Amino acid sequence: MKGRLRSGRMHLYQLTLQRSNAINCAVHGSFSSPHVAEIVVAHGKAIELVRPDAEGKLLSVCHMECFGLIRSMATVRLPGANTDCVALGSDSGRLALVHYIPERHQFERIHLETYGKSGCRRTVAGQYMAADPAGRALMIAAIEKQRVVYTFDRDSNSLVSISPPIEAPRHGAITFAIAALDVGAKSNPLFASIDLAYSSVTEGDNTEPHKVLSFYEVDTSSKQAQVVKRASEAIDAASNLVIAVPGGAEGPGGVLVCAENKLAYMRAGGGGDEVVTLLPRRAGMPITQPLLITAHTVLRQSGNPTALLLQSELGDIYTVSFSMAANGVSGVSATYYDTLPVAIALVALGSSPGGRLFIAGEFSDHRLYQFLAPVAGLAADAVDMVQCEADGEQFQLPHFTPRGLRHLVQLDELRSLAPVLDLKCVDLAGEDAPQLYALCGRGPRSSLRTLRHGLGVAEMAVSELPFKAYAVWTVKAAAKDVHHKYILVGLANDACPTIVLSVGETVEMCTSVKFVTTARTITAGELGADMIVQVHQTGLHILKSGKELQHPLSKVQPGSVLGKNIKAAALVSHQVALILIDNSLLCLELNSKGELVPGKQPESGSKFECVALSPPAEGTQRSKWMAAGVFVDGAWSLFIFRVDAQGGGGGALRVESRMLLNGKPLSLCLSHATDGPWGGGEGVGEESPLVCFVGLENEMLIRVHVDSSSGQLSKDFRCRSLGARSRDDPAQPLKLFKVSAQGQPGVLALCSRPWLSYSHQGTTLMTPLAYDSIEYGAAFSSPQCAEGLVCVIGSTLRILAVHHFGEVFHQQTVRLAYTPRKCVGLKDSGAIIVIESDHNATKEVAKRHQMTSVPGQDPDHVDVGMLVLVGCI
Amino acid sequence: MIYTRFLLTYSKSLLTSNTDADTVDVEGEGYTPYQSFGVQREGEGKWASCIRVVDTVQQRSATKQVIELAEDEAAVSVCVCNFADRPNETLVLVGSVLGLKSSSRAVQGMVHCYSVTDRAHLTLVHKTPVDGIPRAMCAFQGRVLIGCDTALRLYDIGKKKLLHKCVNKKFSSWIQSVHVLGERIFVADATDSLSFVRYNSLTHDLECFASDSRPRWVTAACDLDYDTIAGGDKFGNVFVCRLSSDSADNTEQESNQDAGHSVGSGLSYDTQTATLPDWELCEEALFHVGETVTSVQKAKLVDGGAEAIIYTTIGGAIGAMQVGRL
Repeated sequence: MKGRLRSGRMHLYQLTLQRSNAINCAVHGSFSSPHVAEIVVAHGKAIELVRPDAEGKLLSVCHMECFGLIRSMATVRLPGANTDCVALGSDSGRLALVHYIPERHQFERIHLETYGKSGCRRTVAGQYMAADPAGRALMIAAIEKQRVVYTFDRDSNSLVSISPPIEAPRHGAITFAIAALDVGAKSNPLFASIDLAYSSVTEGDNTEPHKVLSFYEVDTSSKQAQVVKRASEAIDAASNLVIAVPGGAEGPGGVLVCAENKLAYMRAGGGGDEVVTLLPRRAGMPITQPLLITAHTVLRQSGNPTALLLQSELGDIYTVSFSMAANGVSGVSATYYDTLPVAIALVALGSSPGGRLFIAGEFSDHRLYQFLAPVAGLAADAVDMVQCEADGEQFQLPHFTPRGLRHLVQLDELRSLAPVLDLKCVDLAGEDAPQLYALCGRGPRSSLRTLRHGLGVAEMAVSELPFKAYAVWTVKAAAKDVHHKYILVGLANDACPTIVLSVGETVEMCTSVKFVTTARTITAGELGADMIVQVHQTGLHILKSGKELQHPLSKVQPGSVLGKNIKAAALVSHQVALILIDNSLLCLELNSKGELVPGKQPESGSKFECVALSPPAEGTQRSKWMAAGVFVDGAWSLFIFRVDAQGGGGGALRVESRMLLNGKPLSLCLSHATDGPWGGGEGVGEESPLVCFVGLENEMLIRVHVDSSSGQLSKDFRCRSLGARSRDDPAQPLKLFKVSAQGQPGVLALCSRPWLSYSHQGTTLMTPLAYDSIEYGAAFSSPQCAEGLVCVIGSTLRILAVHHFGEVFHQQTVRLAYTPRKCVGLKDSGAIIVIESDHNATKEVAKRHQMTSVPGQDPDHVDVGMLVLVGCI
Repeated sequence: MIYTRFLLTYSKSLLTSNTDADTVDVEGEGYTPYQSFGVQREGEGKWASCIRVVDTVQQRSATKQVIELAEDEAAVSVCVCNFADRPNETLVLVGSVLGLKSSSRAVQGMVHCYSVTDRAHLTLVHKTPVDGIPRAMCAFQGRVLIGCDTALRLYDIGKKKLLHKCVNKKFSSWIQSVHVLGERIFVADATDSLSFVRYNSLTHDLECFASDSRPRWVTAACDLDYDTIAGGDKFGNVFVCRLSSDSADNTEQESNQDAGHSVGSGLSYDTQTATLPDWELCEEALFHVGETVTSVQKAKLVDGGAEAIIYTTIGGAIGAMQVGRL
């Protein structure tokens, strides 16, 4: 070998652009506070707390890296607790018990117990986990041999104590599944497991392998808890899953053993005959093809007994109910419910109807559904009993025809790219940045997704304006209103520089309210409790309940207080700051009589360029701080003035704090910080510091904290270029607008590309919007669009809304027919070529000829299509 | 001015399905019964496959053309080629396999040649049977390199089929990917890491002259520069291998001699010893990303920005790695 071996000299800086969103297990419970239905999902390396809100949107509350691989999870309600915690089985050879701390936005560890070696090994427990519903014990098992039970209790200080590991190994056997039985708090905790002794399956031996269901009881009566094997029952050789049936008041208890094509009910602790039912099959499914159950959850129904929801490997959902006799369960019935994407885990929250069903998809997106009330007068699904013969035995098999959703309706989805089979990062569409073309998913649900960096924006409305527009403002009828009433649009037309639109069911031209339409508007907003002020180039225009209020400053008159044209302005509820054409600043205040009068002014001599007022603190009407971009001593600076009653000594406002800027500031924005301890939806109090955003003419954005009690600018500031132009294009001025995002203050920054700064999961994110370049924007709220933006682009007015906050890439989807394998881009024609292939399938086109569509009985209900496969058995 | 609520409507799965009566929207968002319920299992060796052309320039990406492959034929690889013999034409090559079963690897491979005409319409030129499964293809100096199982083959275009030029059969399991940068060929083997190959135009040989001694199960690779290659493996690692600079210089001289710049003695390698490469690739960097890596490429995420290694994983993660030296 001529090459020299040497250690690596290259260093890679790793950055995750899009987190892995595949889910490998999911559990439900009340994790953050009592009586809240929440879901914890494991993404392999990380766990995430997801909460469906009242409107049916899935909110990601917390995402936390675990620095290990999560293999199994269980919800544990510890004795005496009113919230749940999560037990994690991982590759670390340890059992971790964690709970969620809402104040810190994170999971914290309660216990970490070591029982084995690390790594995903077949003889080290961690693959299966089951927790006693009463929270007394937990079993964690390996595929082979190791099986450990822990018991929980409270010690004298009412802290949760965990017992030393109680080993209950099973040698020479493979474990297929375990379950914790619902036996109530009076009996000892009981676990069931499906085992196959491999010594019974010897090579060349064609006898049926001996698969057993074993029951393990945790004897807690003695001081040292013991695990006792109660019984072993022989079960079907093709059994793959054991499910605990709800007990106590909700159901018969015991277990349901799922095998190929059938379900068997068995009593807790064994004994008695098993009650067997055959799974209904899809019409046209070959008799030789086995049917397995792969996911399950408990379905609580108002007015009906609790049932189980099971999903088959084909995605069909069945409800399983039990009929009771004097000596226990006498019958089990499985009926077809609906068809959903194949799930890794099903989680039902609440009861049907009205409750939610979360599906952690095996591939691609995860979904949230709502249970619907049964439609009155709808015939039950037709079940065909088909005579079948297998192994010389004749029997009747129920068959059904899959149909559209009847009991469920989709509410939301969590996007997932898993698995990404190929990705090409090229600029095929001829945009300023390359797009990512990802091949995602499997089989008929696979897709080609075009990913662009930025938040997806939905266009709620687009309308043409008569002329090119340069600006837009939104105004409420009164300060206390939730929704905006008027939209003012600035047009590049001398005859009609401003038009007014009123917002109602539709957005229409408004002439009843007398805004000034013959002058260029500078800004507009609410003043005091019930007034509207429109600052236009030649003065102030004040409206009270739709009528003009005469005001001494309503027209610029030479020699008066407002002696020159207005260039820029800022306003909050009781204050107006104006910058005049000669770059002087004029502060106006609303006095107790409701008149706008000049207040304290800053010292003259500085040239003001832009100004912003801080939002008034809770319960006050006055803004405390004013930020201004000033040219002084040959350099651009940011000044902070105190503008409330204590501000300034003597006659002039004093500069409390200043910062040098490396460019001309064009736009300023002062808002409350929403990151760190001030995030998380709590009311913005006095303590929350202010954040000052400064937009420079060279597309740089400066973000600096301002102490809300002293007005001092933080020494630590952030500077970022928001431009996305190529080097030859001229820089566009950066404009900043206060908006609302997820109920918290956000900032819209516009230059050659639109950006949004908003708060998400307790941190502030600065993300581009996946949208065209926007010229001017404003916050917008109406009954149809609670939290939107109104903006102008060229001669169009658009209403936009952001739905998927927190997402890194905006996705566009093209559905594919088969699993995509590879793709290649054709640069010249902007096309992408995808090759797709699926094993164990036939062509979709060919398949279509075998399908005939039968219209539903009732055109109004959800069941609009039926599928009949010709050529049944 | 009336609110027009924007609905994200998906384009139909296949062009042909637009008019068919069975595209009943059973989930309320454009799913066909086929997409909602899947298809019946047809058994081993049964395949369904197609080639799809999607236009990205339109406001919403849309399928422009779908070519269904023959019964039980599965497409496995695709590449774009410009052949020296057909200078004004772009060809798309699709590698496929007939009746592939997990139990057997002795199957018939096929390479389809499509000519790209007006705005990305594919027209079949010809099909060429090949030995083994053509899992990897890459354009190379006006010809095409195809990795068929353990063999790396060089083909040129002919009137009726692709013309076989030369072969190196010395790869250990199967060729996972082939990349080309200038004269140099980078080959990733599924179980045996990466190798550097060059084409000897005098002897018409594909010579493997450097390889990585670590037995990596490579799933994806891409070249970073002439001497450096990045790859991802089945066990969740992203790694970078490099041919050390002194060995790179030597191979360069030898390569120049091979190309006939100096007469005679330059024939330094014979194909029999090509399995024992003379140079070893050094591992420059290794990072465990935790999930099986499905693709690796070098790209700029922002126009004018720095280049990064972009990888994807089976769990749906997309990551970037910036190369820096300390």
